Amino acid sequence: MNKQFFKLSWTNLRNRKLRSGLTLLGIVISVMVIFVLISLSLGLQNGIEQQFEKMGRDKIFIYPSGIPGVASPTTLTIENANALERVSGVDTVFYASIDTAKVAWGDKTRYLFTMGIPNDNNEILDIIKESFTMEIEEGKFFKTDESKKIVIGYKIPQIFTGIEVGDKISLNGEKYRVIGILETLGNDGDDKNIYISYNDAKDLFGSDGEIDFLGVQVKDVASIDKTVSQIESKLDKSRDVDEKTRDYTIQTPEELMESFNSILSILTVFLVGIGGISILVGAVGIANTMYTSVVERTKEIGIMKAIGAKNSSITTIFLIESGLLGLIGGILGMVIGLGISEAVGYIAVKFAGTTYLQPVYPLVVVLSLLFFSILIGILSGIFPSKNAAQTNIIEALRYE
Amino acid sequence: MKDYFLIAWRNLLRRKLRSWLTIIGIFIGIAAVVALISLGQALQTAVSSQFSDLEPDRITLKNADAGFGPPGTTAAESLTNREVKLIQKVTGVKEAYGIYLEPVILEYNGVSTFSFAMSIPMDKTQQNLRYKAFDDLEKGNLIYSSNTRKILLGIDFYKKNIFNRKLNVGTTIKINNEDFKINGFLGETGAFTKNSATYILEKDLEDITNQSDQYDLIQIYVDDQDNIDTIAKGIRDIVRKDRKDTEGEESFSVETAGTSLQNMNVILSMVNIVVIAIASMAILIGSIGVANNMFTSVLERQNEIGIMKAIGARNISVMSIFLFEAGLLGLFGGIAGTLFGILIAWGITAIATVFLGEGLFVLNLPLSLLLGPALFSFVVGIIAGYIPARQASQLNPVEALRK
Repeated sequence: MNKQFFKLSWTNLRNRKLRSGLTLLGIVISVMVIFVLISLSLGLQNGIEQQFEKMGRDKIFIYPSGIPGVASPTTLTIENANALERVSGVDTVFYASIDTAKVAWGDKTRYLFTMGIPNDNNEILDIIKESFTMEIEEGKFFKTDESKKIVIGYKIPQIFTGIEVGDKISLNGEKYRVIGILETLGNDGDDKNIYISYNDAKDLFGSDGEIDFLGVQVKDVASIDKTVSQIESKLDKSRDVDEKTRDYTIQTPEELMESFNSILSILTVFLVGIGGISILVGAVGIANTMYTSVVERTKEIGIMKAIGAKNSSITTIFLIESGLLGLIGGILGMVIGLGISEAVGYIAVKFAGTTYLQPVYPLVVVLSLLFFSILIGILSGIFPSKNAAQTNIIEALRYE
Repeated sequence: MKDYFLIAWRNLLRRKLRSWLTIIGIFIGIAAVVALISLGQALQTAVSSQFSDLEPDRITLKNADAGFGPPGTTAAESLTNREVKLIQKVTGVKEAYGIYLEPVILEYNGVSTFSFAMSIPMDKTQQNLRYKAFDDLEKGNLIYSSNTRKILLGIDFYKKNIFNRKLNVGTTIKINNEDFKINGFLGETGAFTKNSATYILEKDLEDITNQSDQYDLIQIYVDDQDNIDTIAKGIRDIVRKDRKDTEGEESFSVETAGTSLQNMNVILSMVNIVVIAIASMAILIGSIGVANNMFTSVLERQNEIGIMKAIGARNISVMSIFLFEAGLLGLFGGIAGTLFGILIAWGITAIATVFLGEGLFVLNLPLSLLLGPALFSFVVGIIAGYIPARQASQLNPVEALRK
């Protein structure tokens, strides 16, 4: 029975190919737009999550208020770092200083942000590498207790054209040997940073134990919130501030990621909402096609009813027709959308060099979009199919 | 011509339901696009008002930024007095001075907050130029060289209860742990940054932040604002030569009121274009609906077309009737859509005004936005109707009459 209905609906759609095709096109375009938006946004979310995953979920970052090292009215201190060592949930404390150095190589001079990294032991060096997601592209990273060595950011060879591992470079007049070049950190500003050991930075910038960034590796990720509040009270005491006068910010990667994701979600919902307007127009198109076909097939409906078709059967046939329009439109829309998303992802890698924009399409998304487009088809078919079912037999048979 | 219109009109009425649904399709798309365009423009105006202290005769020089943050503060390198002197010598420059933009901690009543302090130059002429960009003070007086250890605060410090106790002219508060007396509060501006800033004499700011000769910005005033672009270029050339930078890779930027706004507008326009492009998909689909409707109606009216042709209607007449029908569908959808879109934009603006305050988010409806979309959808209708209309006009009368 049901199979017959489907067959009948299918034949009917094929009988008015042009009209069905144009109606389909409406649904195809709107499903395509929505699919592309969702898959790219999910891909972006994935990229960000992977980045944070690399950083590790077991870390807590502490910055002085303002923009650390650049535009902050205060700094943190080594004493603060030492105080944190004694917090029970803390495994390792690491830190960095940020200063500006006058960097000269060849006949060029530039002022660059210089990070001072403690290299007392390998464990801390590894944690720092992980926290800043630093990977070495060429050469090596710091070894324990090395001095007068420098690791340069990915974009530095573009500033000092021709610079290579092993070259000597001048920082505020002192010579440093380049031991490594980093892979890109994903943003232009960070790629123009240079890195030296914390002790060298202390000498170079005449610092007195100031640091601009504090990081903590916790013992147990599960109780990270508890550790955060422990750190807060310890740091408040060490810095002689309270809740009202607190001059630093504590952040966990989780929080950072959540704030990224919530912004992204708002943006996606907004764009998908606007894209959704077009599916509404597509639905109106389906309704229109169905109404037309009810009018055209008045005589046919009359005959069906005359030979005993029930109202519900007529409704079902028309609903299946409109549902099929939705389904086919949904499938085609997603197939084309997939192609577009993949193309965008390819272009992003090839031309923009970013791996963040790789489309993802989990089965849930595919299935719900499919379900959604069938639903749209059926919903827009409800009124026309009711119209069809309520056709008066006598009138219908007389209809030319 | 009039007859064509009449025939088209009557034909549309004949299939009311179908015409209505087609019009709704166009209507939805146009409403969305009109609402988004007008809101986008309102947003652009709101953002522009953040640059309300832009002056047509001022050039700003800052170092290339290394990250996100207020202008100049994230640059690795500072600007110096030597560079200020260099710029003062450029032809067309009336005056130039450096400005510090430094984060400070304000403390009062046991509460501390973070604010950006901007310096006021020590020279009288320079001060007058600096104050030219200020609106009237809400309360109190401006500060001059004799008013050391006195500050001006943005309106937020007067209106918002930041320190849990009211501040007033004459109140002493701590800046980076040193006492300062409030000499005045700035009037309300559309720029959030200005409303929450602290203004302090250059000498005082150098004192409390232990700096000297490390400006974040250089502000330059020109004699003749019509020549500002030429003068800006002159400044760029001199500083580039001085720093031995390669052209196009300067380690600094020179901005005039025009270029700052332009930079901002480019970003906003790109966002607008993406959003409107997505919304336009709805119009595209709506126009497919028009084509669909017209194809159906050609099919239905084959007989009629045959008769028209038999009694002497030319191809062009048949085509015109169908084109007008399609155009009318678009036009009605467009007019209704424009009205509804403006209503939506108006509603959202009203809500935004409640949350953001009066005067920031203003709806601006140029004539082009009122008439453009309707005209556009008329044209879209005609384009969508072209193929069906051509099909109708090329029917063979003998075949058509047989249907």
